[in-house]
Amino acid sequence: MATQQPSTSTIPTTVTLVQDQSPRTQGCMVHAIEHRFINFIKVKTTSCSLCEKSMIIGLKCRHCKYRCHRECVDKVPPSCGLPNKYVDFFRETMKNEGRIIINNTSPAADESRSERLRQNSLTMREWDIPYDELTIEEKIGAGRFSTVYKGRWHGLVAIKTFNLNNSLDDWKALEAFKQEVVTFCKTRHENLILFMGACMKPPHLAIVTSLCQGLTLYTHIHLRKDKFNLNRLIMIAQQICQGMGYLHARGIVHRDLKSKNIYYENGKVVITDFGLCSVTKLCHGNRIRGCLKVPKGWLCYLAPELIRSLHADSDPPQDLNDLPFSPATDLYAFGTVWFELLVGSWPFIGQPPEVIIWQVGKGLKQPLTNLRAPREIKNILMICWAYQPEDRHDFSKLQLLLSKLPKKRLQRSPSHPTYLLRSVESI
Amino acid sequence: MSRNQNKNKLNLKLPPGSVDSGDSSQDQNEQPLDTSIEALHKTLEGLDLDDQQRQRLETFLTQKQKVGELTGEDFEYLGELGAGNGGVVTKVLHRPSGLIMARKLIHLEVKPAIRNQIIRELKVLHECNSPHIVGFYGAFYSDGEINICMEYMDGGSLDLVLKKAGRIPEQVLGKVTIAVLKGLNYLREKHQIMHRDVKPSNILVNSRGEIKICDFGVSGQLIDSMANSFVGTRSYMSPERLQGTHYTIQSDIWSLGLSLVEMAIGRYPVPPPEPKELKAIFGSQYQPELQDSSNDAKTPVSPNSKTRPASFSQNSASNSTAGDVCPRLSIFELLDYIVNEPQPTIPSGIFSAEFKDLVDSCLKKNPVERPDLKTLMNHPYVKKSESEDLDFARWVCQVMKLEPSTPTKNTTATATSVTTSVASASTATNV
Repeated sequence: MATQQPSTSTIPTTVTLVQDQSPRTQGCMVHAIEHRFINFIKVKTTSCSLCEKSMIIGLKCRHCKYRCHRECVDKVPPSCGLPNKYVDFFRETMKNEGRIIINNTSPAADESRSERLRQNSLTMREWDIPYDELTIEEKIGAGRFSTVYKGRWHGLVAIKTFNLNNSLDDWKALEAFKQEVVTFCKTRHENLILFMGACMKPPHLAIVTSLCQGLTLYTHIHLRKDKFNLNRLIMIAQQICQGMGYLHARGIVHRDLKSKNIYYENGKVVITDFGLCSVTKLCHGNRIRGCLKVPKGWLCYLAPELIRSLHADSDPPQDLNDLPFSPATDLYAFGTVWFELLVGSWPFIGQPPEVIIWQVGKGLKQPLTNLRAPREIKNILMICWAYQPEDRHDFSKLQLLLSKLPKKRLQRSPSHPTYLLRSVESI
Repeated sequence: MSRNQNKNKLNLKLPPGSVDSGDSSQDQNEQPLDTSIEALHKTLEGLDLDDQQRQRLETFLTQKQKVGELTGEDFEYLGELGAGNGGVVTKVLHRPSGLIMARKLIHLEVKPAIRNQIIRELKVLHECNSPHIVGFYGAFYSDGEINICMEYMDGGSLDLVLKKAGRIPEQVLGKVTIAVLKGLNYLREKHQIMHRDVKPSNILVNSRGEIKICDFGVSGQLIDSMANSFVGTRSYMSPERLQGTHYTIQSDIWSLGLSLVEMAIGRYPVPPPEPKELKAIFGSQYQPELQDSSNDAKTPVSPNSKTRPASFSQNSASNSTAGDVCPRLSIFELLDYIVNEPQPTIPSGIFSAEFKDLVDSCLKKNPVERPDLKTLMNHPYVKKSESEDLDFARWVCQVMKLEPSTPTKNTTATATSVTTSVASASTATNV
């Protein structure tokens, strides 16, 4: 039968093209039989089955007599044999449920909205990795809400899976998570980890990134007690600034910059684990009511304005992502990383959390009297640790300061900044 | 190690064995305890014990000798006693000996060397034998957890007792004060250590009427190795410690003072209750007029009061009927209150002048102005409490609904009056 058909009268190529542009989503029609259109001229005026305007010359399906304009054919669903009222009913249902319709058959008014939706779902799909395509190998780390595995997906990758709680019906949070994934996938910088995609269908939520082969700065500094020379330290700091500056320029706040999230390998710095804040709403953390859990070495990265908003007994338990994070809080955290690089330990080490909370909240800083370093280096620390967020500059300025640092260690009296112990009020 | 030095402002020393980290000390530490009765007597010598205390300590040590090496499989779980500070405490039966113990589990992921050091450091607890220190059976490591096995105290901690009782009568607090002071003094005199964490939940009681302190900072490595610490809604840390300055055993005195105020008024006293709330707690006993004239510290106008959140006064007003509900301050606001606002106190007129004087002097902001342990042990309130005949065991059993484990003393007038006042206290807070 197909051979008998005149090639001019069928438009099979157009139909497949439509299919390519709009692949199926979850809400698709089960009935999918293509029409076989032929040219058609009617002397008596009739109307287009799709747009319901009158027509004389158009196309007609050989099987079900579906008629439409040549212009409308792209929008006709594969509904051969299906009465028009069923098609309309299906369209209505899909619209009401807020899903995306396979073919853009909505009236002209809805055109732009659904177009946007379709594009959005398209980019989303680009980064969506089916969970079963991943090969998960050994566990390499665990965070508050997640576990990180080494794995394979077209090569070695790091897979961060989230411990979801039961409330999977939180569509809003899931949607926010997807948005974040899209944003992150568009970040491309030498000093940032490469986001490759994510599994976005609960219960398997996971993020796939490139795998860092080196060690974290935390491992270098705190576990192996490695000593870097000053030039090396400045280089590391500059690279962190570059990565963070780029991130801020894209409007992303890291929220968790710390030496554990910075990898160092062959002289190259890679920052990981930035800014995923919506996903924690979907996860069950160990939030105990009436108690704030303080992981070791966490408080010293928190800027005074964050420290001051910590609560132990809010109801419901405080979500740490609701703290007032900002680019300035990232700068404060960078200051602490800079301190770790210089000194080899955390500021306020060995102090009980209450002591750190009061002192940082009050604007007191870790004394630097034991740090033998040029004044310019300490000045950078002081800029990052400024009590007022607006006094903390930004990463591009910091980078400038870092590049101006004297490359050789100067022999100077180590004891000038005694004023550092004073609180903000007294300065 | 360096951390220990930093913290050890007094240059106090731990007994040998506690800080040795080399393997050479292993043999020395593995030595079995000297188990002879003479050795026991030697340990108990010079502790200034009465006959009953001596006998109970001897019984404990004799029982402990039969326990031997502790392992995870020997325990039968009997129930949970509480959770806090990174550990869960369970009630367990040690099957080989038939003893009931409290087992504290602390999850640690550390290298074997570190873990051995912790176990070694905890062995100091074997030497801590006092009627005012919770007994220690041993510590071991299994399945990623440090296990610390201690004497089981059936009355629980004083914060649990406080919850049940509403508030604790002054006479009962007298006995608590004596026990804690003696316990702190023992730690200082015999072991040169300070407690660092005195609070109601670290003071345990039992149906025999014993009051003992626990959870003192004996292993620096254990604290250093814990992956997480917890900050609660209450802090018993002294202002000088929060400020990061030099602190001494006087810091423990502050913590004791704050604990006493909390137990006396039935709520954590920072921020201080408004007159309205005190009225709700103490009813007609409380006279605000008297307060205003006699105590300047009450409702002070402080420079910092402006910075308090607006919700502060509203909350305390709306909660004033509920007795134990504090306004919600952020952690920083709470700590800053301790450092910068007037010291907490108890209302006068309801408590004896001696008791008020004791807590007020313990809560002096300047550590130098606080009395030291020796002075406190001769404080009129302590002397008065020592002379009082109060059946603490009976009170504990009544509040915690326990069967008295030893025949209580003859029902004295004091005991009955205490229990009735307790009953009235709890009804008052239930309003």
